[in-house]
Order: sequence, then C-alpha cells, then structure tokens
Amino acid sequence: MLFKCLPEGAPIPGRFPGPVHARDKWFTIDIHCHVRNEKATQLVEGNEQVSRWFLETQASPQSRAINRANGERTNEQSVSPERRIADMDRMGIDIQAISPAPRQTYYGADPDLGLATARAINDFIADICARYPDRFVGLGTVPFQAPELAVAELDRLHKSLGFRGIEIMTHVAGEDLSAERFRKIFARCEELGLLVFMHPDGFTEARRLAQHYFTNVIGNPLDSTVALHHLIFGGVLRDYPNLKLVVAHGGGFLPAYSGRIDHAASARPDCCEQISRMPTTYLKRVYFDALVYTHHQLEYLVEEYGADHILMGTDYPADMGEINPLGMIETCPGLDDAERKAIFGGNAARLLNLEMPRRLR
Amino acid sequence: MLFKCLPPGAPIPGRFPGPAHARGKWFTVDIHCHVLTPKAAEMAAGNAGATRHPREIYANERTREVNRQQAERNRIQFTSVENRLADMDLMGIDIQAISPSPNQTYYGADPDLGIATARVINDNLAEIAAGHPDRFVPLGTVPFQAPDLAIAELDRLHKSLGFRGIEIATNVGGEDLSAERFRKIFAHIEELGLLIFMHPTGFPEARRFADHYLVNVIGNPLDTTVAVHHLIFGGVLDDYPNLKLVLSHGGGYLPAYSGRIDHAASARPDACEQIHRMPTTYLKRLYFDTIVYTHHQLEYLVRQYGADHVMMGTDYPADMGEVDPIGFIERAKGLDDAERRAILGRNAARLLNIEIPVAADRATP
Repeated sequence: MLFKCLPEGAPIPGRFPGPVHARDKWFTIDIHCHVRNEKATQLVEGNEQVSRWFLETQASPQSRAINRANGERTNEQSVSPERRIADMDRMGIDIQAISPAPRQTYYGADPDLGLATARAINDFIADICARYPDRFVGLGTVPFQAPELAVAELDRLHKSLGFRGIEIMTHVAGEDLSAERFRKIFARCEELGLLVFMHPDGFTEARRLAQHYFTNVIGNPLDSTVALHHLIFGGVLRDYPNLKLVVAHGGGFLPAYSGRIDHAASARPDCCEQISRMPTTYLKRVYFDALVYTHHQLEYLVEEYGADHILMGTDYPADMGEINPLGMIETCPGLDDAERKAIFGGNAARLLNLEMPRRLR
Repeated sequence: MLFKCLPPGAPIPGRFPGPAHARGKWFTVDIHCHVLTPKAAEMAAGNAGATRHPREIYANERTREVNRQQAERNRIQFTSVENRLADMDLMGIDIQAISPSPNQTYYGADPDLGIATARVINDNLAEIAAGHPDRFVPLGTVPFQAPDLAIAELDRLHKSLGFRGIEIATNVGGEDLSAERFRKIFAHIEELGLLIFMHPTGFPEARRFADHYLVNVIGNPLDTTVAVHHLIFGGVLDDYPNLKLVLSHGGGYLPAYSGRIDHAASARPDACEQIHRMPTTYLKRLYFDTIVYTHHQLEYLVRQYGADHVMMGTDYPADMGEVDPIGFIERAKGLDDAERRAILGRNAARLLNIEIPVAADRATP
C-alpha cells in the first residue's frame, strides 16, 4: 500500500522493530545493520564538505526533511546497543554484524581526519562488541583515500580489536575502487581473511535523481552496480580470488542482469583487457545480502548463485530496511530449510569465522 | 569465451547474421532493429547539440577505435535494404519493426534541425517499408525537444505514412521524459494508439563509464532504468494507462529488481506523490524485448510479466545484439511453444496491428 494511503494507526513499512519472532528456531546473523558514532560526528563538525551526507546531496529538500525526521526517530537505535538488543530480541536476531553508518566512512576527508574518524568509529564498535560479545561482531572502516593509513588500520582492526571484517563504500570520494592505488588495501583484506561488506552511499552523478527519493531508490543499487563492474572488469576480483566480498541490497542491479557483461566480454576487445575469465565467473564468487523485498528476487538469487552466497540483512534501523527478515525468508516458498539456515546465519558465521551455537549445529 | 581468447576463424559473437533458421516454422517479428539514414546524418553533422553522444564523449580511445571499426563493418547492414533482407531470410525473421539508429533521434538539436531530420528519417523508413510491406513495419521518430512539432509529425506519421509506432530515446537532451512539457506528446501517442519503442542513448553523466565499454554495458540499461522510474513515479504511466510501451534490453535493470520501488512507495511519502497505485502495477503494463542473453533472465521475465509482455528483438546490426534470437528462444527450456509463439511474433503483431499470414497460423512446430 502506498505510504499516503496507509490508514491511521497502521504499521508503517520500514519502521524497526518488525514483527515478533522467537530466537530459538534459527541461528540468525544480520550482515547489514549500521551504528552511528557521536564522536566521529563531532570530529567532522564544521567541515561541510566532509560531514554532509553524500547520498542526499542531490535529493529534493522534501526528501532531506524526511531523512532528518527519520534520523531523529532512529537516533536511539543508531547509537544505543541496549536498544538494539531489545529490537533484536523482539525480531529473533541473534547477532548483528554492525557496520558504520555509510555517511560516517568520510572517504572525502583529508588523510589525518579520515584516520581519526575511522579510529573513533572502530573503537566505538569494538566497545559495543566487548560489552556484548554474544550479540555483536564488528565490521570496521578504514580511510580508503589514504591507502597506507588504511592498511595500518586494517592491521589494528585485525590484531588489536579482533574484527572479522570491514565495511567499504562503492567509490572513494568519486574515484572507482579499481584504481591502482587501492590495490594494497584489497590485498591486505584478502591476506587477513577479512570479510568486505560493500555498501553504497548514493550515486556520484545524481542530477536526475532529485525527485521521488531516487537518490536512494536508484542511487544506492546503482552505485553498487557500477562498483561491481569495476571490481570485475578492472581485474580486482581476478587479482584477489579469495576476497570475501558481500554486496548490499542483493548486490544491486547486476546479479539479476548478468548476461550482458558476458556478452560484452565475448563480443568486444575493449571489454576483456583486465580479466582472464568470463565476467560472471568473478560475479559468482561474490556474496549478496537478502535485502530485495520480494520472494521472486530472493529465489532468483539463490537459483543463480546458490544459497551459500546469500546472507540475511536488514539495513537496521533505516527506512529502506527489511523489518521482518525472519518472516520474509521463512515464508519464501522456493527455499528449503537447509537453504534458510545457510541464509539466516550459516553463511555469515562461516565468512566471519564465528562458531555456531552448539544447539544449532 | 572472452573476445581476446577466440581462436582465429571462430565465429565472433555479436556479428550478424547469426545461424540459419528456416522461415515458416514460427511467425517472427523483430521489435528491436535499426536503420541508419545517411542523409539525416549529413544534415546533423557538425551540429554539436545534435551529435553530442555520451557514449562517444566519455568512452576511452580504445572503445572509440573499436566503435569506428564496427561502424565501418556494419554500415552496409545499417543502410542496405537488400543486405538486410538477405540477413533476415538467413536468420528466419519474417518482419523487422525498423527504427532509427538511436543516435539519430537528435533530441539535442534545435527544433528546426530536429523536425527536419525526423522527416527525412521517417520518409526513408516509409520508403523501405513501401518497397517490402510484408517484411518491414516502420517505427518513426519525432523531435521530443519541440513538443508541438513532435505532435505535428506524429499526425503525419499516423495519417499520411500509416506508421503503427515510434521509437523514443530515454532522455531528451538530458531532460527526463516525465517533464510537464512532454505530456502532450504522450497524450497524443496514446490517443493515436501508437506503440512506443524506447531505446537508450547512453547515460548523460558517464564519467565513471569510460573504460571497459561501460558507456554501453552500463550506460544503456541504466538510462532505460532511470527513464522507466521517472515514467512510473512521475505519473506518466498513471496519466496514460493505455500507452503501449516496449523497453529495450529486457527493460534494463528494473524488471528484475522491482521489489525496491514498491517498498519505497510504501515507506516514504516522497516516493508516492504522483502515483495512485503501487509502482509495480505500472511496471507490469510494460513490454520488454528479449535481449537479455541468458535463459535464466528470459524465463524470469516471462514468469514475472507473462509471455504476452515479452517480445523478440535482436538489436540488428549492432555488436551487443542477439544474433540467434530464434535459437535462443527455442532452447529456453522454461518456455512452452505457446509462449514461444507469443514472444517470437504474436505479441508484436497484436501491438502493431500486423495481420499474421494464414499459413503461419497453421504451422505447428
């Protein structure tokens, strides 16, 4: 039902927490959920270029007003682990793999500020995980714009903070991830066995996306799509075949539109210069969250990529999120229970090197 | 196999004509195939507004070189009627719904040049069709940038030239199709019952698409995607519910990624202002060609939208085309023959008011 048609008092889609689910039926890990850190916000205050939310820079004033209201509404959920645990308990989610709010990755900051904010956020996430180690695992952030500093922070995340993965954006202040200078970061992620959760922050050229919240509706899956094309065609996935890459929102547009990249690579010499295999060979190594809203899309992803490549995710606490992830996957007719188990938590546990609880092995 | 790995002498994908298929087994209409009108190209040459193509501007030098080579190679297929008929005969295609080469919509030209080139192109298509009325159905072009001139040309197409449809691009010199000033064109198209075949001309802001031919690989399905979002959310499909709109390349990204638009419209007040139904309600009224290269994508489209909404297309003679459309559809295991018949020609016949020859009706594959 359209938002404007919802009757008074009706539950509003995208408002967490969703319907109640008991925790003991499945082992569940939410791979896609964000926290916000006050200290990092303060560090960038006054620096308009860095602190603005890139995704909404082209959005209409109306959309930005709604985003502001949403931000206020979800503030507690974004910053308070206790509130999150209450919501997780209600929704049946055992573990959240918490990542920074995308706007707080600050890839546009100068290197020092980028590192400072990354450290503040990572320490904040580490603290939450330390307080509730059975409910949270940390996905950190590193300042991609300064690869040497990023690699150093990766080492700190891995050795000192025990993080199993990081979140990355789909471009680095407008520069694509396949640029030569970022290679060392991917090399280190692969070397350390870190999971890389790729999340968009809107599309870089969003002139036509101002209306209808297109900056997010189109912009987010679009930027993931562009990034994935660059990671494939630019040879990053070829060079780092063991990279554990998880892409948000079902991977964006590409996973359900994969024929074109193979055709291009076989029909055109300018399309296969930096790859050694067909493009979909690389695409099939990638993992996707289940945040696609419909069973037909989820079933299609499972058919094409295998249930072991799909990870449950909610986008908690944002309004484009899936507030009933357990219900959505439970009621998906094209899945069997083994596939559900894998999607609910088995795959994430494997990629994050987490031990499954004894009762559910 | 990667292009660079093809052994010498191996058939190269995207090179028309494709494998041979006898005509007569199916009734076949190719909804997606282009004609180049050299005279219009000469008129537009040197005019920056008319010839500003993002796919050329942003592409790296390697891509531009490959495009030049392709253009030389397939120019005869773009321009020679005899050659086209020979290819159609070989591939088993009964009818081509010929449309202008997308760059020739010239929406960036000033109105006078826009209408002049449109007339020349439409006259050329009309002439080709008049020479072989049992093989060609023309889809014309109108200068969207000048709505009143566009409407006048629509009338000429419909009344004088007997056209059943037009081709439109996915943006008008960078402006979206949902802009208020274009509404009268859609109103008139709906009124006249013309089919609209929408074909992209790349994405205008293609800075990140310079390499790997992404100006086309992403740019084309992307611009279709953005255009369809605007037609839905901007209320065009709500205002004109009887529009017969066919989208290229399987409709771009949206048809297989439709959950998000419904979620947005139910979760956000700014995502439902100009619509009265859920976004996918409008999406399901549209038609999609079959240029998706894989059976899993084709079968997904048929499952979601119905075989009566999917139409065979090749993109003849371009290298991102499907050179074996009949084989591709024949081999799709998830389809039955009734669905194949609909996709191969009957849907197009219905939308374009083409009479199916009696013999074709009797053929049972």
